[in-house]
Amino acid sequence: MRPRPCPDELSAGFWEAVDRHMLSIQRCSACNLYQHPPQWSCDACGSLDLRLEEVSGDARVHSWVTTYRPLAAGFHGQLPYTAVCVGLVEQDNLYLLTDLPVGVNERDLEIGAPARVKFVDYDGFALPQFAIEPGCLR
Amino acid sequence: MTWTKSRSVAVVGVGHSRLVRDQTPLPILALEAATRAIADCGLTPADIDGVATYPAPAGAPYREDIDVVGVEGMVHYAHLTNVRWLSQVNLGLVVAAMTEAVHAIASGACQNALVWKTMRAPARHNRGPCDAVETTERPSSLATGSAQYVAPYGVTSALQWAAMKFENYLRTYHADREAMSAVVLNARANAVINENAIFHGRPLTAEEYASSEMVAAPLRLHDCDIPVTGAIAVLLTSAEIAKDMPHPPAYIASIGVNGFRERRTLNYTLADHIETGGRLAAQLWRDAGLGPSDMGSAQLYDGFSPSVWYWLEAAGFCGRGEASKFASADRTCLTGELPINTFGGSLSQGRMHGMGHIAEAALQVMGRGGSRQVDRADAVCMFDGSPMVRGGGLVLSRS
Repeated sequence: MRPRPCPDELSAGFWEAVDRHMLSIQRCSACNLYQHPPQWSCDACGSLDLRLEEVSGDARVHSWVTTYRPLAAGFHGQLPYTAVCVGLVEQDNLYLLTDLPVGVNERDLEIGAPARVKFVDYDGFALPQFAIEPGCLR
Repeated sequence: MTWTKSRSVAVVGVGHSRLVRDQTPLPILALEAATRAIADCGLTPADIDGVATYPAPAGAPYREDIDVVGVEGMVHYAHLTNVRWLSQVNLGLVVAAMTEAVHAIASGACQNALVWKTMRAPARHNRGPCDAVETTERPSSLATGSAQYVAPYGVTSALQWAAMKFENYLRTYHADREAMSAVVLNARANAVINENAIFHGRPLTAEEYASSEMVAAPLRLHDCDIPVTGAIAVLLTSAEIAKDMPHPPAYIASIGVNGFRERRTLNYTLADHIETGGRLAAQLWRDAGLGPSDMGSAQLYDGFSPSVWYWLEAAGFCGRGEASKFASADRTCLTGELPINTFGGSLSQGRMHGMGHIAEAALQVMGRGGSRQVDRADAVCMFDGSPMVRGGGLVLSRS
């Protein structure tokens, strides 16, 4: 079973949005920078005036890893499995670690392949996962 | 600014404990390393007035005298009765403890400082730290802190992050994945002739590397360092005193650790790694008044093999995206143009989180590399970390 994300002061809004199947990313009100995970101040300008803003959910594949050994709790029965790092289209270097709701062969993945958020409900929590258009796999 | 204390402190003694993969108590090994480092330069425990170590990263749970030997343990076990300056740091890597000691000696806070690092192989050799989430199966685990964004997707190990960066590197630069074989086999070849290496006398073939178990693709088992239990220590003193020591000194031409302001935490990119490492390297070259072409050897952190490529690029030994071709067997072997990890690295000497690299840089500059000694060792650099997270480094020179 997947570990359940445990929200804290910084992340509560992000996970509440996810529970409503919305992808909301922290954004600076002063300079408009998006940043993830949420922080107390803006990475770029230092402003403390930050808010959550819903994003399109469109992303591109940045990288991935296929795990063959039992390295992480909750995944011992899933081996091998592939996690994917996607870059949200709203901004350069705005990455989210995620995986794909439908397993794909990692050999078919390509950097830059378009992916779109798809929320999946688990027992008591939801997770943003990303689906790749079948036509965009190698 | 440029560091004003370049070459005012030197490494004058080196001591290795046995590196083991058994239940030998760590204090015995820490004492072994300390005793050897102190005796190596003709001093006695009573001469040591400064001590510094880096036991483990901030937040890592550890038990003193079992998982680490910290300052209090070492002062006790090695019978250091005259300590007037001490430091136990938890930010950076062991280079941070070295930096503290160098500054303490340069400022006159102490004269002879012992710096060490202890490591204990985890009971389960599952390779890679798992922060916040245990690796044992539990029915309903909670992912807290930074793990909440990654543990639900089964990513909690440094190994998996290293694999993701490496995948991105290979694709971005169209690098030949199998070129990494040169890094891994070079490390093993050097360990085979290093009596202080866990793989002393145990060679590895290209076929064994190519067919080794995939752990987190594209990283294989032999791309990961080998967990060991042991200790390595060095003895530092001022340049004036160093001149009269038994061995030629290895002067600290420059030393430092990375600052990294941006907090993308789990989303560091390949560019973050190399650019941040590059800033540190530029500072070290400037402080030392030396550059990559002056180095007779480079000791590059290799907790996972790709870090060697990243450091080669970050430190300016080759251009961005060129490391897979640059780090050829011919160039990086003991008789090559740039011998790398002449002692076997973490990959094949053992996982000492950079202390093995420091000790080897000193031995090479002192001319005490034995069968591993490189021809041109007037200056040797060491770079620690991945390179960005907790990066650090130093340049040692004969003059």
